[in-house]
Amino acid sequence: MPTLSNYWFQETDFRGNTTYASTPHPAGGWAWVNWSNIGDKHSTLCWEREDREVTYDLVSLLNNPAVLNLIDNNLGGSANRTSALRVGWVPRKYLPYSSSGGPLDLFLRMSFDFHISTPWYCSDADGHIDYILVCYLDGGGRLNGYVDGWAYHYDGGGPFCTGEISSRLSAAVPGAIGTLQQQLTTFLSLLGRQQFDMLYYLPGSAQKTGSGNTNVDNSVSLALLPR
Amino acid sequence: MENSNSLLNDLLKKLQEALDEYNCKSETHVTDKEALLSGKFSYYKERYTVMIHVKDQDFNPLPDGAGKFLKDDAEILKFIPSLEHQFQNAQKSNCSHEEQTALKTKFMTLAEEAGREFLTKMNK
Repeated sequence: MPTLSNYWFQETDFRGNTTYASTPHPAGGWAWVNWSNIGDKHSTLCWEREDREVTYDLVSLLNNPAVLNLIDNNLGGSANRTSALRVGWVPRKYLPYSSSGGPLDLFLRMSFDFHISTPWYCSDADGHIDYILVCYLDGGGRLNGYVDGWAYHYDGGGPFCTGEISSRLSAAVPGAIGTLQQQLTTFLSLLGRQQFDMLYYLPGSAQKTGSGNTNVDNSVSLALLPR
Repeated sequence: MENSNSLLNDLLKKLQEALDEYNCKSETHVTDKEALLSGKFSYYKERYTVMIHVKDQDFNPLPDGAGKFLKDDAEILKFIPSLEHQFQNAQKSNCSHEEQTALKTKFMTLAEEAGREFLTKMNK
């Protein structure tokens, strides 16, 4: 039985706080969703989900000790991670760097918060580090992925330490990409024999029934249609 | 860069020498673009802190950074999931456009034959 999932986003271009509802329905029959009050929402999406769909909640998948240790080791003494990993989608037009292609091409943003302690004459710094990932199916229907870019932002570090902090982060954050790419390639190669017809992302944990709230900037699932 | 580093090191060294006269033990930190000197000392039972920050006038570090790691690959671009171009994959759904057209054509052929047969029976 196919499932219709309906998503309402607080921001335009399918971003921010997301209200969802999923309803299984007979093929060729109506699928209906009653919204008593959808509130302050500015974009919406619907997806008709096939029975063969396989989903992976990327937040659950990536918040495992192996991945977290990898990230912490790469940060070294540059910063301390202070949150779990968030994995959301980001349309190309909202990437933190310029990138050519369709403005609504979807990238994954893996992000986490950090803290940097400073000497007594500066305030400590708190911020977040983002890695931008791309997943796609090649012409043969095989899953591929790569790390496309990075970003960081923080508050604090004043009045004298922002130069030192930015310098350390500008070296450490892109410096970890090689290790991340290596692990991503290893993981994807395990699925190398399987071919898929389609890859797409779904907000939150990709529930097939019921309704709820999530934030698509921080939580998405990877969905695949095996061939 | 070398000149800047040398100047900053030299300047801080002289400042440290001056502070030594007040029994101020200080620490320095020098990079290509800026230098910091920090110290604390007491003078007639009053405690003082010293902070000196010297920087290139054009050096204004920002609290954010970003970079693209790989060039956009035209071959990959056409496969990236997109909210804009999802329809391009529509033919890959459970029942593709071609399959639906074939089913419709097959039914129309059957319906035309049935129609002809019906008319033949009517005319008898």
